[in-house]
Amino acid sequence: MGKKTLIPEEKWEGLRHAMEEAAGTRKTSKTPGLPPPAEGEAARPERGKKRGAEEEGKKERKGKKEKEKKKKKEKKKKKGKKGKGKKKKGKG
Amino acid sequence: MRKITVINQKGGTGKTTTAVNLGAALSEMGREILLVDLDPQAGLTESLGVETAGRPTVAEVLTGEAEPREAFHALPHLTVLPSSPVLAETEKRILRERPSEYPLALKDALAGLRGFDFVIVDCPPSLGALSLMGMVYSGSLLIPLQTQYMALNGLEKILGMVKTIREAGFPMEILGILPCMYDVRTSLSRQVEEHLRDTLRDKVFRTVIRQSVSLAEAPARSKDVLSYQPGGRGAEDYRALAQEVLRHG
Repeated sequence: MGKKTLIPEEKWEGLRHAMEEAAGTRKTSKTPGLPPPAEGEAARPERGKKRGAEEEGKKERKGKKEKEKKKKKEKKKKKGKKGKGKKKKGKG
Repeated sequence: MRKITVINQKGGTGKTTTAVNLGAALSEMGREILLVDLDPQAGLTESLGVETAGRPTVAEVLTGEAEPREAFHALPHLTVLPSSPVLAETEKRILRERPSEYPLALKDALAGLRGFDFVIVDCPPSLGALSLMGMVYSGSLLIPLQTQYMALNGLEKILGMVKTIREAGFPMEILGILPCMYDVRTSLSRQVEEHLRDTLRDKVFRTVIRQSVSLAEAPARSKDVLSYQPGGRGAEDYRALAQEVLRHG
């Protein structure tokens, strides 16, 4: 029969990594998960604009267009209903 | 002069016992030893029966109000730089006054120290400012570890801190991990020890500190275990550890 393992293997693997990092034998980035900042002027936002201002502007414009479309649709529906109602009244 | 910091953020792992008895064993081998108590609970100070009333302690040494030699307490075979509960307030004060330099406080305070072969620092059971001072002072860590599951979580945290300190530019080595309170009867103790050696290899001391009544009784008599029970299991284990430390250079 094999020996009963009281401590999971992952625990030991984690310790091994931690020791390698502590001893400096394993190289890791100081800020894991964060990409290095982009270089050059193109990556910077234009003066007077906040980071991501372009995208926000697009979203706003899209939002306005959609609202206008919805309003038009609603108006059409209302007109249509009125028309149908009148016809019914006329028939009855 | 060799400097060793005994550290583990978990309480009751054998830090003070190791600092005292490793010091005593090295002293028995003819070395001059200074024990620095960096714990506001002053366990090391009390376990050796050092009286601090009306005398400067490590707290005053850290703030520069006293010279180290003024605070030293000489025992027949060991010299102690004692601690007291005042150290907790001193820690806060140093953090306020030297927010960016506080890790260097102990290193600066003991900068001119001579006449000892080994300085052994006993840290509090936390990874706070005092422990950081102790780590930066010696740059060499001895980590007593209970051979239990929960102790392994703590070990990962210490190793993470070592990495951070090293990346901040302070040289730092792990002298060794010392399996403590080893219970020969339990399979958990055996398994933790075996896996520790498989995983961390030469970073684990060959010596194991076995559970022993004499280790618990000695502080009650204000003695180290080598004076209390020279032929006992505890004394035997700490002599083996001292030899290993000497071999390490």
